[in-house]
Amino acid sequence: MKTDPVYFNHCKNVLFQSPLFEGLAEKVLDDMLQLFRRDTWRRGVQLDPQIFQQRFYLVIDGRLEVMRINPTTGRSITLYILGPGDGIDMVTLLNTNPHEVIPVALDDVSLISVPIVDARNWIDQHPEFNRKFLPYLGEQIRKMEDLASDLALHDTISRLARLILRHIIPNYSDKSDGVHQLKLIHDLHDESLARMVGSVRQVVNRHLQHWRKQGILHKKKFHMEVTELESLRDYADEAKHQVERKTSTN
Amino acid sequence: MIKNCCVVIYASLADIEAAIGKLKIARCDLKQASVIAYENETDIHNHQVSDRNTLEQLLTDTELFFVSGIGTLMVVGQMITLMSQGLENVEVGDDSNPLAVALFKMGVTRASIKEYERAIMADKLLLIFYAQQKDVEYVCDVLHCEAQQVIVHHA
Repeated sequence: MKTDPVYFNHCKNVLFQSPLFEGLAEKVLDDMLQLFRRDTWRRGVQLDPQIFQQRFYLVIDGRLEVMRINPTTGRSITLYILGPGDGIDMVTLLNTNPHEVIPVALDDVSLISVPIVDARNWIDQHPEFNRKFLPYLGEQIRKMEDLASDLALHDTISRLARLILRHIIPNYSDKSDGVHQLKLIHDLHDESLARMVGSVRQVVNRHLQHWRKQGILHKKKFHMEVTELESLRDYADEAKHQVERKTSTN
Repeated sequence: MIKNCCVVIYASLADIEAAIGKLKIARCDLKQASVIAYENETDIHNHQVSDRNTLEQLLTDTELFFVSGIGTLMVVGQMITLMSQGLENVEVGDDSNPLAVALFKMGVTRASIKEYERAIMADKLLLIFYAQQKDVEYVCDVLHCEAQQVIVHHA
């Protein structure tokens, strides 16, 4: 990739800001990038999942929605929204068992990829990478835990509130009006948000409209912002109290 | 249906010849390959005939296209058909042209189209392979190396 120094440096900048690579020695990252090639996926593209058993992809620009779909009913759930610096289907680096994940490009996406065998060999040769890799995997497992417990324990409005809270950019509120910006989900359609909370578009749309009327959320040019953080937290915690009440009565 | 292509940017015609030679040895279907090169107005008469002959021997047809904002392009192979189809039903951006539309139809993103236009204007040559995903992956395996970047596009 060094033959294209502009893109090479762009990749390095993006990856150094990602939890997976931040703090890694520059030389180690340079060596790693030598193995990769450039890929682009246009918005909406959905590749044959087989490719993720053969190649490992890192997102450089744009966003991807990683889904699972029930082929009989067509129902789908979003497992992750991935952004710059994230790896697609990290599990394939650990074991070879085939499993179904369907990444769909939410924007025109720019990626870099490497044969999975080469990625595994590189990790074997660079144990220092594991100091970043294992906490990153831990974070992914935590996200799955959150999703599973949200689906099992909370009602839709709380799940939606919790989803939005998890995507608030930390330390990035506009001090003058207290507006909180969101990462990755700020411009998603209601349909996509519904897939992330295991609901349907109509229900999610009703809750979002209700919060907009209450002044909790604000939408400006398809860009969602949180204007009343504490009120949104109340909606997220409401279910927690319900669960606590339920457990105490059992 | 998913569109797949890969693009390689080369500095000279000799590099393109070498790459097409490798594809021939690897038994890739060269009907799916195209080459695009910029023709400078000043040396068009000197280079054009010899370059066209060389590329026609390697691939098939050659055509010259005038693309506004870029200039005269020498196009060889499958790309000619796509560029001849015109701009109908495809909205690539503010400054659509037959090259941008053809690349878009092959699955290239808008950002990459701009990058390739800049490369052509800097006198680089593009080798494009537009085919099924497995064939594109195979071409990548043949051409991609540390010294030569191949970019794969899916749409």
